[in-house]
Amino acid sequence: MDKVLHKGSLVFLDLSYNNLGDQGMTDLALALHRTHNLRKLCVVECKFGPVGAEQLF
Amino acid sequence: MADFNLHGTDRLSSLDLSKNNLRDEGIAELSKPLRCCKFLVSLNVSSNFISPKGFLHLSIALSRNESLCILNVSTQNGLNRNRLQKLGGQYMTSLLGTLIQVLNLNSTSLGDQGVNVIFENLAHRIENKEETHVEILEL
Repeated sequence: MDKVLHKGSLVFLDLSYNNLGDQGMTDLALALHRTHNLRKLCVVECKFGPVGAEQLF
Repeated sequence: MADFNLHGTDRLSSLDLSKNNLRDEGIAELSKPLRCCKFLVSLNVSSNFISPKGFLHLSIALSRNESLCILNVSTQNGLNRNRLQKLGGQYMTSLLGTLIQVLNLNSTSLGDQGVNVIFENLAHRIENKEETHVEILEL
């Protein structure tokens, strides 16, 4: 995923209804921090809490 | 606009975090970065167990925002209920003078008093010719 996000031109990412949890969100956020084009992110019902949210920005 | 140093989520225009478990702590964590999101147009934190304390964080974070047009803090299908109540309603009134056009506060235990607080504030703004951009308000 890291390669896709970093090298690609992904603008919209929807990972809703996946059981990411805090660890998944942390991993996702790390990858997202290397993107340059992402404009829209949907992570509906991904079972994360404050720990996952903290990593987003 | 000099945004060359922005990366990752800094330039998001739409963020949907609904139906998770953010709670007040999560909103507090997000409040500082949200102040810096200069391109965020739509934010959805519906159904996240947020109480009036969390809405205080959110209202402070967004009160000077100059991009957000759509804000959803509702509860969906009774899941992970957000509770504004009267106090949270009072906090949210500070957002009625921002650029927000669509505000969804559905199913957030506002009660009669909370609804009154919102409407009194809107009426006050209209009487005093203070700006509000709210076009769609769901209570």
